[in-house]
Amino acid sequence: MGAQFHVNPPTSDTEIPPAVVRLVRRVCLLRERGDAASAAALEAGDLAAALAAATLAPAALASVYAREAERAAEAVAIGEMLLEQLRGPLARPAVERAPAAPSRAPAPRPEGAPAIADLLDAMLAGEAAARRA
Amino acid sequence: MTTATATAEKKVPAAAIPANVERPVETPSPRRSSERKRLLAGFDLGTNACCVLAGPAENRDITVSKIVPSVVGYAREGLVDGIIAGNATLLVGEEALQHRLQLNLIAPLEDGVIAHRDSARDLIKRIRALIDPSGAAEIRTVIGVPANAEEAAREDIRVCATGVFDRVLLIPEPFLAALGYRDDSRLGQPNYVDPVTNSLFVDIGGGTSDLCLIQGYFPTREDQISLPFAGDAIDKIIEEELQRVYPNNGLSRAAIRQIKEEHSYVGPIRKPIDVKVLIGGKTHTLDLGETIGRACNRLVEKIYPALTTLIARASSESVAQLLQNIVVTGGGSRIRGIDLVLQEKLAADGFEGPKVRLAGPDFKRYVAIGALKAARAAREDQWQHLLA
Repeated sequence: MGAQFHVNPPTSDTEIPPAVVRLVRRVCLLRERGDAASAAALEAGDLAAALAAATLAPAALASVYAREAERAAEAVAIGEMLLEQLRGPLARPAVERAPAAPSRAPAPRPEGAPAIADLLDAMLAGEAAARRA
Repeated sequence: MTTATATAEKKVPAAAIPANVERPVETPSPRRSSERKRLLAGFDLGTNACCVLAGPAENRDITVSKIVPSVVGYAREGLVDGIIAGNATLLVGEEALQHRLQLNLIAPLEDGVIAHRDSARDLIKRIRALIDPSGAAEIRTVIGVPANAEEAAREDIRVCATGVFDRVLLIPEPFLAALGYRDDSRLGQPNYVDPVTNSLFVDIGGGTSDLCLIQGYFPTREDQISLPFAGDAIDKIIEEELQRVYPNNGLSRAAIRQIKEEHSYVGPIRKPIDVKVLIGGKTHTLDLGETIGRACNRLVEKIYPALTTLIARASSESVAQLLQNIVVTGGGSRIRGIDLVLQEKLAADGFEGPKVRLAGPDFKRYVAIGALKAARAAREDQWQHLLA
């Protein structure tokens, strides 16, 4: 995500309500896990309400987003590594995740035209997966 | 017959930008204000020409539809006062070409990606001014990028757009071409195959030829092939052959491109194709049939293997319909016979009932049209912020 953001030096955490930080963190985690719809809902709902109650400079909010996005990416990566290490004799099945890039083209969807926003979600998820790789 | 004039155009390195060039005032950093008018734009940042379509976010109007040559000109030292209107030191697009003798011309893009950042930024600023002459609007732009563009190339675009556009979204060009080519009014009709559902697009531009398999999901890297061989490569082959056959002909690359666009074809060699050119002020008639044919046929040699590679990726349930929906777009779609030659090669190789068609006269705009559709459909969280 760092490549997408060009931000000023981060503002001190003491100036940003903790509730806003937690909500931004949750949004970033949802996006990192490919759940863009839930992330958008959270942004439009609880986060919007929290921001309305706070007075944040745009640069400060952008700084929070950039920082939490990086943390979310790291957390997911660490989680995946830990999962691998916890496997072994117990041979626990891996957490099932939808592949970001299918290795073989699936059959075309017969029902209706795919929504552009959904296609963009898939594109962004693929880009995020490529950056992690 | 065609008359082309040999000129003394030279390719100028970026370091030749004179110190006296007045750069436009930097666009101020975007303000977050709900009162700012929001404009959405679709932008095809092409190697030889850009296309931009734009309109207000709140409706479907298209208020801007422009094609701009991808060239930036910086005034040479010592120009006579007033020889360029307003004594401008920086011109973009057609204006730059009109004053080519007074300018150092730079093509900011090569092979589909930014090669000169400063000039690319000047080009993008000009595009912004076309979209919003007031300079006050918030502009969100979907920008087409070559298929499988590297992250460095994508970052170059973001850097050049920072401070110019408020938000961007970078999307592969052949996918945008399919989106633009899609006739939304016919979706759902029984005989209409949505190109986004099952098609193969071949976008032949100036710098790259991009092929993309599109089957109802966003194309993966394996569904896209970008070849660094397209219009500019054909021009180079013709130039080299002309230099061999007609040494010191003095024809500029621009003149050769003009000849190619007038006479390009693929398939069996056609002779004669007589072209009148001015060399040193005198008219000469050159037979360029074989030269042009050989150069253009090289393009087919490059594209065809990529085409069959992507066809092989399609599932058995989808391939029959896919073969009926191969579309050639971009400037290369104007090469005479390219659709028939590709179709015949597929049939000769045993592919069942292939049908290759041309995108049609609107080929220059499909990527930008698709980009604007994507801009209108993108959700708030899908846009990428650009903050200086």
